[in-house]
Amino acid sequence: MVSIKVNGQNKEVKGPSDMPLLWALREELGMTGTKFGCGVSACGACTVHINGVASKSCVRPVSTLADQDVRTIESLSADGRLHPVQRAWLDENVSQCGYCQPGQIMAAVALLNKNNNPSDSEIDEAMSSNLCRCGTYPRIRKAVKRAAAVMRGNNP
Amino acid sequence: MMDNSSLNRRQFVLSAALLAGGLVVGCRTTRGSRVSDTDSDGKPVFMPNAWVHIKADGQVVLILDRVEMGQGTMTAHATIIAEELGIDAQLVKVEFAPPGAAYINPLLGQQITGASTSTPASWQPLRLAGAAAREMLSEGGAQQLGVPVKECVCEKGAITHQASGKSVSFGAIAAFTAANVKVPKDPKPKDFSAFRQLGKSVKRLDSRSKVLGQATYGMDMQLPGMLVAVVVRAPAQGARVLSFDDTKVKAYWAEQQVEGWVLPTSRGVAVVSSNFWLAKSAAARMEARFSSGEAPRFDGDLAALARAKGFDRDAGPMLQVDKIGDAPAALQAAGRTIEASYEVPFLPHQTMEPQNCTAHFKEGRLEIWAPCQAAASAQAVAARVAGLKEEQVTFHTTYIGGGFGRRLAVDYVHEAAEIAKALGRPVKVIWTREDDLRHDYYRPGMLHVMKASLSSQKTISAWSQRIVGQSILGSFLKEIPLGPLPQRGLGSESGDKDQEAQSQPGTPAPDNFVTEGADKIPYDLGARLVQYRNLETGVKVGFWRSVGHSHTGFAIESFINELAQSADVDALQFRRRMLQGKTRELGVLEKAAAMANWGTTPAQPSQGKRTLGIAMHCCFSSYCAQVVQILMVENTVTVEKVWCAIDVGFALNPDIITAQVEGSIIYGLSAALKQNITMKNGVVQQTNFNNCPILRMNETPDIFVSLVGGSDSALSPTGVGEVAVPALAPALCHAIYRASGKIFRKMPLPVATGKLRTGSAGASSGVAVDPALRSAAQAAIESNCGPCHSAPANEGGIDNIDDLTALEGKKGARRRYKSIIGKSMPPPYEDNGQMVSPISEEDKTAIFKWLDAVAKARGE
Repeated sequence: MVSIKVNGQNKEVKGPSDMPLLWALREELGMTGTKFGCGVSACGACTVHINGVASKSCVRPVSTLADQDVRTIESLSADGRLHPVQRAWLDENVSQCGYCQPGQIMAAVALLNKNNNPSDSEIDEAMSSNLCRCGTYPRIRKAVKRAAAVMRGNNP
Repeated sequence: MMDNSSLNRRQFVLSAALLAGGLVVGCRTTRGSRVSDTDSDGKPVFMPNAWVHIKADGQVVLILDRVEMGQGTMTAHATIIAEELGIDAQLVKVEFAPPGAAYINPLLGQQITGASTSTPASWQPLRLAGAAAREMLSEGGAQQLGVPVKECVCEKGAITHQASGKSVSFGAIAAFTAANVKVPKDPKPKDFSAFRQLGKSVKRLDSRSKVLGQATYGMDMQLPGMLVAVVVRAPAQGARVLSFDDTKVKAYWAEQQVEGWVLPTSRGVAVVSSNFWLAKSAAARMEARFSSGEAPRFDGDLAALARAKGFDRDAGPMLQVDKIGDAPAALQAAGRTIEASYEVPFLPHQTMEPQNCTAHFKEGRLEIWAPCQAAASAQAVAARVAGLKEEQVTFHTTYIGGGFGRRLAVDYVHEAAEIAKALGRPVKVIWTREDDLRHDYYRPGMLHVMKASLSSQKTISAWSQRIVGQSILGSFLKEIPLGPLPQRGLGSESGDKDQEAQSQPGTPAPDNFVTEGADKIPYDLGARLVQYRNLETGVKVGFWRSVGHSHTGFAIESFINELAQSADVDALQFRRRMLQGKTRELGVLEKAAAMANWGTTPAQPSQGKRTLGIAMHCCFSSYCAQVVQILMVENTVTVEKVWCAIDVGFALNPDIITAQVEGSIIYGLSAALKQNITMKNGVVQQTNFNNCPILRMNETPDIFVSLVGGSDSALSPTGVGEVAVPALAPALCHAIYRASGKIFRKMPLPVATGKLRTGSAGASSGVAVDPALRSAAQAAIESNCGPCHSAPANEGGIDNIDDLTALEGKKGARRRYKSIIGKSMPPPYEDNGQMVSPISEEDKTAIFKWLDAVAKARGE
């Protein structure tokens, strides 16, 4: 039994202890926004924030996460309003099949939380471990820049 | 190719009825459909292709008879209905259709989504159903208001009498209309010039739920008491489990103090527990013996096998695909002929959502949820497997995390139905990524053997093309009851009779899914002979985005570029001469060329060359031409820009169309540069994205799309899901040839993929190392280390893993990296109880060879 803070709430996760965070989220906690794509941290569909850092939840055993702060896609709009990154995703019509997008969005949020004026190469560096088979990368880039502008505007 | 005009001459039957207190209007296409409109007692049956329901509360519901897998059908079809009814498309509720004869795709004769047919098939029926609903509601509303119908307008969900301002809502008159108004025989859809939403880029209806993480894909299904199954399948193609020992599986569950079940099934051993991790960890402990399967000695190289059997040379039993004049004689008589062979590998789909299916067998009924493109097949297979009648199976189509043709197969449904029936509890079968890569229905590897002659006017005077590879229909339909699929435009008019005359034993059956694109090449090629020879490999093959066009486009357009080179004519000009009168082909070609400033040389870098390549390929009644710009430094190719002109008739949602083109180009780049299925002892060697990579954001070019005709076109819309895939590879190869003089005729291309925007491709490290060794090492490092190490440094990334020059400058690099590569990096994984390093011997060798050269050059 491990106690993990998920989206600000303490959750008891049964395990087994080597079970990755991804499956604890999806199956024990019923939070299916975080997706399974590869199981070996190669695709980024499972991206969450662990202590503010974009992390691949498919390879993080729950036993390493006692009292750690985990945030998932569900946390971005908990107050009922869309996060600027989610709003930008809608404005730029990013999603096609949409399966990779929660992971993409979490990676983008982590980037913009640290750097709200990223260059093209900084966007590439932060986002290139998130794969998209539908090929939405050009729109993701545009949406990240759009969200960045909004987030800069909110921080005078 | 599909003829648009036949669509307009189809007969449509409209019907309407009262349904659940509301009005339902349907439109069915009769021509080409196998559906009868009376039941076995001769009573008329309501069986629309387009079904619009106006409910008593005013909600407008569209039953979507196609799937939504990213290509935008949900939004496009809802917009058509919304346009006719005068309501905002965002207000239309879309439900996915259950299996039913009503939902058969009239262009395919099956209830499937594929062949870029969704919009062309539904365009007229939806317009007519929407128009009929509007006219009926207007009449019903006018009657209720006691005014003449021509003084009323239908908009914003109500019928309004303009003069008095009196109005009545859809919901208020739906039932009255259904009971009192006859369905119009000849409803009038809106004129193109009156469109307010069609032709504009209406926002996608599914985006919000997807960015919130709330859209339910098959993988997300949750049912009370649901179990999860992982299946231990024989790894080799066509192999089966011979025996198994589940002692360690059960010991694991006992140790974990959880319940679990082991169920042998027809497709492998199902390992079932209360969640995925307990099932997967248990499955890893299964000991099993497997048969060697149906392709034990095939290594995945179809072209090599074809050559070994002489299929590239011997006439043998060939199927004639297209014939004009006497090409063999013309080639014989020609002074000079040009020959080339093109080869492509087996390719995986790699949908982001691995295969899965959820099923529950309860009280004699089976209920199933799956991300599937073929609902009726799913229902039929599930019924057969569970020993039920189809009426006893309820099938739900979920959102789909990528289709690309993979979801036409229903193997995952087969598995779930079998397991659910045995268990009697709800169960979700989950495929791991390794399962998904190993048990795909691959795009078959193919070989094209080409020969042509040039006339004195520098056009093509004769063309011979021999296509060798495995029939899709033959193997795919062995297990999937799709029923006979219509052959897409097989053969030319003059050739049909010759096909009948060809009754040589062993002549392959027509399979236009393998030869399409070569059956009606639009160029004037003089005399032509195109033939097909089947070559069975025992590998499971199926439909992959753009299907036959994915390889015929590569072979034909690459050869056209080579012939232009031989004729010493510009590649664009060479094509123009052979497309006289082909206005739509010329339209996209000229547009793409203009966008790219074809004919001018791009600004050159200080190192390497920057070039353009061009290609055109048309399919599924749509037209596409592309120009690709690359920067090539030594053996590293950076794809900088792609310009694409596409003609899909009326562009009903320009932004969705543009998105599909962008996605198709990136999909084509993954195939051209990265993906490759190889086999050993019948087992596919690729297991995950680290050894079967796809394109990443930092490798993605700037893409520019132009819609020829676009929203101003008066032509009915044609499909866009696939048409932009085939032209990419030949345009890329053309640019590579113009940069380096190297002609590549085999995919994936033997080059390293350059990164954009991060620079340093080929920058000098000051260490004198053979660039070929560096390139080979870079490719190996990219595919093995990239997945983890392209993250930023503070998240586990290491400095400049993609920049080999930095590593070359580090003292002791050889000693350091040789001690970890293959041992702890990339991280080993468990495969059937053994820890296995995922890096292949070839990749390790490539990296070590380069490291040795670096050390030697540094005198270490």
